[in-house]
Amino acid sequence: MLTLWGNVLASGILMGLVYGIIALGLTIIFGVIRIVNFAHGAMVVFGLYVGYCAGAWWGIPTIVAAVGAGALLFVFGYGLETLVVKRFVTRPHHIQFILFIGISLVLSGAQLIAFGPDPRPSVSHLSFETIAVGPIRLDLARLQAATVAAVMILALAGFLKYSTFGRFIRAAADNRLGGLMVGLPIPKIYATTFGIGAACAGGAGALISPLFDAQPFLAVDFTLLAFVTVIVGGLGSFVGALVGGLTIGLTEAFAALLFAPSLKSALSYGLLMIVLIVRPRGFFGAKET
Amino acid sequence: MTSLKGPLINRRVAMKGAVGLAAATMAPWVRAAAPPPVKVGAIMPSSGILAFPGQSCVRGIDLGAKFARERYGVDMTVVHADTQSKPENGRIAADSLIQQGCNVLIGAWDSGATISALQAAEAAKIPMVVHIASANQVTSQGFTQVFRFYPPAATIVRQSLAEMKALVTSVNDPPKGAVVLHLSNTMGTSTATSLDAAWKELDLPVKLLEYIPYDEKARDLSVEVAKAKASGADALVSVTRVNDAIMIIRECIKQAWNPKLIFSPNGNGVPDKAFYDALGKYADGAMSSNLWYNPKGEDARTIVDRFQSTYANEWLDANSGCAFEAVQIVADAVVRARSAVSSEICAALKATDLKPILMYSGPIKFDATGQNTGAAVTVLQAKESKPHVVGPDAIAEYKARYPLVPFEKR
Amino acid sequence: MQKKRDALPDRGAVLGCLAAFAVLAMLGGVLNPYLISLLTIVFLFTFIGQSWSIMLGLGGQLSIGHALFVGIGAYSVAVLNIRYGLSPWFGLVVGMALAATIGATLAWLSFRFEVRGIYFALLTIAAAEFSRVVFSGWEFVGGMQGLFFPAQSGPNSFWMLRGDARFYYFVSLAAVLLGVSATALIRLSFLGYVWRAMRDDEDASRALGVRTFLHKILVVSFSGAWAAIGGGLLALVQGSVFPDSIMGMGISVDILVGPIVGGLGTAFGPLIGTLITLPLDHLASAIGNKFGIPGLNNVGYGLALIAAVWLLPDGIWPAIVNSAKSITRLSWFGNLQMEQVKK
Repeated sequence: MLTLWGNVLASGILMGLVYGIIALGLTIIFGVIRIVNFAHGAMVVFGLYVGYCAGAWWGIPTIVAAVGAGALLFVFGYGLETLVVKRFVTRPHHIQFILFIGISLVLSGAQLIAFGPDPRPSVSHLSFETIAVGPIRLDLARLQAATVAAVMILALAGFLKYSTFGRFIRAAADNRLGGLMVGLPIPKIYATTFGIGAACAGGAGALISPLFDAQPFLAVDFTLLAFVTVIVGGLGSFVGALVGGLTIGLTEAFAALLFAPSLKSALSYGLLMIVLIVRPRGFFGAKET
Repeated sequence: MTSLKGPLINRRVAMKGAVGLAAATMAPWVRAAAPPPVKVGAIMPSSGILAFPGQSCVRGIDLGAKFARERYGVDMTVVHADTQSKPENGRIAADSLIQQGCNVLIGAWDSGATISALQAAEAAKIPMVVHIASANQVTSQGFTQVFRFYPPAATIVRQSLAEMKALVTSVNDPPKGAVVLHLSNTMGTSTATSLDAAWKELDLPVKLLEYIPYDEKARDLSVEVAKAKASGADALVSVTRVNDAIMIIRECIKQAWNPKLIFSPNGNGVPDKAFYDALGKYADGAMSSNLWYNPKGEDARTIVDRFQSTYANEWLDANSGCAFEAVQIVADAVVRARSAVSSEICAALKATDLKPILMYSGPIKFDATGQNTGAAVTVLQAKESKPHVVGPDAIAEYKARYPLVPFEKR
Repeated sequence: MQKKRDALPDRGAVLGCLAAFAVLAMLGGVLNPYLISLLTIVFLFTFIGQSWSIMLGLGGQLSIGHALFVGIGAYSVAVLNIRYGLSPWFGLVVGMALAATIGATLAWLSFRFEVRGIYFALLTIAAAEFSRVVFSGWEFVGGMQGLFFPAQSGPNSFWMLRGDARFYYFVSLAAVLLGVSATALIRLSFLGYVWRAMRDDEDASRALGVRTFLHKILVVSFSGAWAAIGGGLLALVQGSVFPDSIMGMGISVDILVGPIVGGLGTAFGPLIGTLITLPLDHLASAIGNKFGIPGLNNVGYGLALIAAVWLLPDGIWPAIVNSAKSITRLSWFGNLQMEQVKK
């Protein structure tokens, strides 16, 4: 019994970190540009497909594929921001919502055309491996994703804190108008941030490809998942994404153990509602928009 | 899609491969005067969430139409309509097809779209052959134009458990306890409900220990599998879609749980290509019961080969199989009615008594509600990256292997 | 704020509007069944879209979880009709009451705790998804197996709201007419001015004595009740209800596309927008099917949405009105023009 609890705890924590990394891209973009990227899930699925192709066609390890997916989506995100999203930054939320729904549809449709509707499972050996720590088994793919999540967050935090461009980004996040006035290259900052956000989504997608089979219409599920995670943690905060992920991961794991597993997503949405009402900015939320 | 290019091209293309087939079988129907041209509308969820089964059905329809043209000499045109996996589009799709002059409809995979399409069919008095749709209500709501090939969940489950009983009573060291891991969606819940009743009715010698339902959108089944393992069961009965089936086996491996039997009544996974792509050698031994083609049927080999040569990267699965069979049911009715008038096709469908062409099944007959009474399941087992039929005995390719080889020893 | 002289609708505009509906009604007699069922769904989505459009366009509250109210309405009608054999009219009334209550509760909770803007929108998603999962596990309402209406037989019945495709065409057309009139009347009424004032500057209107807290709750619950009627009708037309399809994200997104493309908060915007977007989606899907490329429809539709918000930021209807205004002087149409929604 204790082993079961231990395993559930471990699995909840690892899954939570995986949720955290899935949500990271969403939170970065919101934190700086103040737009909610509803096409986030489609970008994650994009990454999943990159991970699948890398593994199935060229036998590239997941972690290398993740770097590739990150680079690819950085370019995509940078381009998308410069060409399209830029014009919508100051527009009302509902217009942005439609824009991103449109982008998401285009991505999902393109994925459906390119890969067909069949689930594309990763062929990585990671899908089956575990490390035993005493009686507790740790899932290797999740462990890898969680570790990379931690590294990525540290690297990003370091970049934002110490590099000059990172300072620009933080300044732009704090006060767009002020930044413009002192001559910050706001368009470049926004495009880069959007690129980083997309890269996080893509990298996360590739990293979790041993866990989830790629399918075009998973996008909505991933978007919702990222929302729940980010909102519980606080939109716009890195630590929040991780804490939110952990909260959701653990809640789901223990809900599945103690109550009906089929109701576990009800529980996470319930939790989300409570958090939104009681602490709308989440645990580590950004300031009022 | 080839079927849209018109019958002439198709017939010519098809003839090349089919001369041998036609000569060999000497179909007795061909002698009658050629039946009138008929337009068949196929309503499928080709995009959206259900695109995977939907497109599989489309392939079955197209191949089925080619086959029916040769076998029955029916000049059959197929028009496809996509519901985008939304129920409200069922009716729009049906009306659009009827508007384009379709004499008979086939569809629509999910029960919501099927019911919605049936309303249009009912209003226009156009018969609709439901190749797949699991809800009982499809045939119990008083529609007069419905002919459902697919059996209700309860029938599938009872037959599946009968097969499972035959298996566990014939082996040494049968499993003692079973745990049921099932989806909590429409298909999963109805299957689980019938499972409970059928298990008692058939008095299976395996103890049913626990039901573990999980959400369709579940992203992780580690806790569910841990719970199943902790229940002490040595047989896993699962009701899954492909993705979940893969996830469950992966978790079993990771958590070092080696049940003696993995059996999935009315479940996906074992019949699907993705299952083998994902699991490789770990897929072997898992079993499921499905509507499946009869490997010993007269035309099965030809049809499967035709399918393979047309769609190199796809498998002929239960979805395309049922869709294929539905086209044959329509063609048979058109030939007997010698008419393309909907009401006459409907009357002919009512009198259907067809020996199945591709699927394993008893004679296809529709009762007063429009339900096919002949449908039967087969038991499949995964072996060497392919599903093989291991039951019922009459059509088995080999005797089911039991118990499962522990995962770490593969 | 509009000038006073715009307050009363021009007689010509009212006549024009009635003429448009008369044409649509006559079309109901002559169109083929396919167009009838397509337009029926267009009208129902318009009607639900109107409720959403009131909430954002006038009340300033963005909801991305309107499926919650749609689902409540659909389930009220389905449960009362299928389980107890009651007329759908009861279901519609019960659904309205329930949706209004739930909307009011949700709004009360969130505005009490100062949840606003995008956070309120996210809360509506959470609420809708939460109830979707709850309904999925709730045996009494059919759970995931859904509820099915019996097949329609016999003559059309206005009392039981059961009939053939044309019957539903007229029912949903009537609903849209009701929606257009309600929107126009609200815009001209005291409530309309209060809501728009609140939308444009909440603090200022509170300073002027508007009880914004109360009015925000009112607009959400009003819109919820309205959407519930649409949901009930949609369930009847569809013949079945499933939690995934009637309460899922899909519905929430589908209904708001029309109003945004057409023109938010205007009387005709939702109708024009839905009349364009929904058939466009079906056309794209038919083309995709023709070439055997499923997914082409998603790409095409997605691009169309991007183009719509890019090129016509205020929607199509205001663009039409503006160009019409430069030619003639239709003061009432001028009144329908959308003002910028601020967040």
